[in-house]
Amino acid sequence: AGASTPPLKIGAGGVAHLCRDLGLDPVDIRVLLLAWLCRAREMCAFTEAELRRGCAALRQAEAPTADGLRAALDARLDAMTVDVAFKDLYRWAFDFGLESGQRTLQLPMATDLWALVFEARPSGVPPLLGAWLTWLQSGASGVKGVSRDTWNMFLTFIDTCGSDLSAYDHNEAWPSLIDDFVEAETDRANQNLLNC
Amino acid sequence: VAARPSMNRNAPNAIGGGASGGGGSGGGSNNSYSKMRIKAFPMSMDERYVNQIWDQLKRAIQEIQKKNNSGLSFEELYRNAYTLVLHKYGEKLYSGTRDVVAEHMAKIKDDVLASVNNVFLATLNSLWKDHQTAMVMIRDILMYMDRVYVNQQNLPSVYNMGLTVFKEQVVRHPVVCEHLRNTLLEMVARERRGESIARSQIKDACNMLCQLGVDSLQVYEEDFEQAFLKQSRDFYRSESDDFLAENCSASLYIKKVESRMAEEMERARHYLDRSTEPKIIAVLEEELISRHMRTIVEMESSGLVSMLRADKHEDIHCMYRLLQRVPDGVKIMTDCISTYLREQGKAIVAEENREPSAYVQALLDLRDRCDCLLAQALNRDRLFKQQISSDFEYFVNLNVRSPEYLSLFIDEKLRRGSRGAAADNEIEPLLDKCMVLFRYLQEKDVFEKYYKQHLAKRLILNKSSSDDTEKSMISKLKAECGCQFTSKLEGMLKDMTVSNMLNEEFGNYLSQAGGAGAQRSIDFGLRVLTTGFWPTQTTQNKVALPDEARQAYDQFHRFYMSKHSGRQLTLQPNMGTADLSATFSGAPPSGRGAEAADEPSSTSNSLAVGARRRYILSVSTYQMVVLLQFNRRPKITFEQLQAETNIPEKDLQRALGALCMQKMASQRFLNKEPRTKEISSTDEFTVNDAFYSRHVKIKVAPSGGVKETEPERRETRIKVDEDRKYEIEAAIVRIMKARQTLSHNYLIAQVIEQLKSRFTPTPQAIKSRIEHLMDRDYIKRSDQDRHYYQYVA
Repeated sequence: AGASTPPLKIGAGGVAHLCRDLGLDPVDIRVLLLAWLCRAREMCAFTEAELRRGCAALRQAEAPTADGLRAALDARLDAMTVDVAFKDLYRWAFDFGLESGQRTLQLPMATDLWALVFEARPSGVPPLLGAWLTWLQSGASGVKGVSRDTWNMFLTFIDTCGSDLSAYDHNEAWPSLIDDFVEAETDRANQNLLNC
Repeated sequence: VAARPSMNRNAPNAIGGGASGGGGSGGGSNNSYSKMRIKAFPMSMDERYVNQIWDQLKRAIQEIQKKNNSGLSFEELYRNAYTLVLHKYGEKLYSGTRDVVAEHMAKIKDDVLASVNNVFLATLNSLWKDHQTAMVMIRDILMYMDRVYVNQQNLPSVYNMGLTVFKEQVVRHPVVCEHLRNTLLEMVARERRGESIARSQIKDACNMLCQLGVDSLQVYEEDFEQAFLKQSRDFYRSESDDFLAENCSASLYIKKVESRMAEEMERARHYLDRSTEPKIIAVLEEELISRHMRTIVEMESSGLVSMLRADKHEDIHCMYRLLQRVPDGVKIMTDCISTYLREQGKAIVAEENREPSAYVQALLDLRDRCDCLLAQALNRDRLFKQQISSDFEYFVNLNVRSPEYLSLFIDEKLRRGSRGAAADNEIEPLLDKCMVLFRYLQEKDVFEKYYKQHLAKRLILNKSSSDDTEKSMISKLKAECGCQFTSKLEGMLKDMTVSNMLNEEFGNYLSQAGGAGAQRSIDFGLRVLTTGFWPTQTTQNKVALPDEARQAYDQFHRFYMSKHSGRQLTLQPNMGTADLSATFSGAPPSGRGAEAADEPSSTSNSLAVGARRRYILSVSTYQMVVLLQFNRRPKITFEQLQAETNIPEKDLQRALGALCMQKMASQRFLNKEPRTKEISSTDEFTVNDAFYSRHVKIKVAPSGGVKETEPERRETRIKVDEDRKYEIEAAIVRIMKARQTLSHNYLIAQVIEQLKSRFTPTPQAIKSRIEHLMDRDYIKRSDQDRHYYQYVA
């Protein structure tokens, strides 16, 4: 109350412990889901308030147990059928991945998060994701970080042009990183056609 | 209608027959009023009487047709006809007349057929004329019927009936018809070949055909005109083909076409119907011009291109006049001229080693040639004007250095004493022509950068030939591009005026202050430049000025601060000049002494072999610093110079280069060991005592604008690209602030529109700037529609 005690918080070690209890890999999508439901501010750490929030969201506020949490997380993952909810998770993930004080998400973190977050997508992992991540990791893009707008727009891109790149129009307001990717992809596809 | 011979209207009852009814027959019966009896108008006539009248009329008509009309009484015949019509015998009269006319036609037809092999046309024409005459008279007699019966029954009038009968029976007779057509066509063909023919006969025949159509030209068209046009088409088609096969001269062909066209026009006006004129002209235009225009324009060694090469404006004008007549004719010319022009322009801009002034002069000359061409040969036709402008815009921008070269050209013209400087009265029109070229530049911001650089040099080195001309040039740029373009340039000029005043005031300040400290140790002048106006300087280092210079600067600094306490002055060592007195004491290279002895105008110092020679060297500030180092030590390495003077490496290399890289030993001020082409840090420099010159005062620093080296150009280009990023962002923010919400495509279009007078940004570049601004929260993507952006207040 009046005393200025620092808020209770578990750090990286505590989080690892929690994951073991839950029987989950730290990079499992359900861990990310938990962090999201907690609205955790930073990676590898949970404050007490955040954990309470998460448990409440999982309806495990009363006497939470590891198994109970685990079951609730599984159920929650399966219940992710609505795109709106996924969009919320997706957008939150950007902030989650940011280092403090930064506005741009570092590329390695961005690729990791992308690889992970789409596992929760109702319509499944998009086929284009692999190509996207490969391209980013090859360094051909020339960027070191991803802006929030690019992150957000990537989901829209997957939803609208994910299955058919020919529908893409670079004269529209797409981020230029995606412009470059589509160009590289179509070049590559054309090359394959030529080589066949 | 031929004038009819007068009929005797007053002959009393010359034709026999009973007196007709009708009140009061004009006669000379004795009138005793008691005995006068007015016969009542018979209300009905008997058959016999009717036939009598009709016979009379019939015979009269036949006589008329036989040209025996002089003995006829018009009045009586008219009366007869009138009577018949009145008593409702109009039908008999009409059809009877028609039969009589038809009967006569048969005779005419026979006559015509007989003449087929002998004066056919003349015969036909005269028979036609006679028929017309006869019909007129017949019409006159039967006028009452025309007015009353014919109108009621909606029949053709008597005269027209006569025409129709003539047409059907005579002219449309297969033999006659064909023979008539062939005769006429043959005559035309002969005349085209150059023979002379009986034009009046054709004229009459055509006239006849025109009239036979009654209210239309159908007969004329069907019986003659269509065949005429076809024959003409065939004739001109083969004539033009043959002509072109034999003669490969475009101008000859054009003249031939013009003469043929004049001939056909005259022919149509003279003896064909007027309505044929446009049709025959259309045929000629198609056969002679449209079909061959590409051939003659593109003809080797006589076509448009060779005319252009030889500036044959007369011929081009004839071609233009001719091709104007047909659709796409002018377009072929504009395309051809465009190709030629682009080729010429590309040749000018592609040459690698051309000097800037020659480059620009060549472009101006080309532009002059085009203006001449437009004025003299092409009637200043708008299509050509536009095409030429777009061609210039195309090739001027092929070479990215065009803006730099144009600025250098203008620099040369505005500089005092340069070889290319223009005379006073020539300069204004020349600058106007330069503005024409300026308008074609797509990268006007690049031009601005160079112009500023060159202007700065002119002003600082005091090389501008006339302040008024500088101002005039700036106002031309302002009129073209607006104040934003020129406000800084104007600021630069103003700084010069202010600096001159300052120097004067400084002089006064010194003389007033008096005393030892206020003495000027060396003669110097300063220019104060407002930072924002002048080209950006990258170096702000502390060059180690020699003491005298440093003291002089400090003096001025104190003076200036006393006037403007809030300001900050920074010395710019890379822009100044200095005059040094230099003494060389060695022997000049062999042979020099003897030569010097032959030159009486040389100064006494340089005459004697081995004597000390004193010169005044005009150098840059950096060079001054470098040279003064040799007062302390005779031999210095590059590294040492760098350390002592603090001059940036590139500038030091450039400064030294001008002092030691001359080919001949007598021209070098410094010697460099080793004598390699490049300056490396371990090279050693010494004063070259063998330096020799005929002049006393020598300029070392280049005084004029030089074209940039490739690395320098790349640097400038980088700066330009940086500036453009800011300009694009500024435009985006301006537009978004005004509109608050805007779609992506519309924003891009607006940005391009706003910046187009300076350069043309690509949509990708603009997109990249938008993203940058989004990152910094100036604008954001709309939540409702991802294609829209919103301004963030």
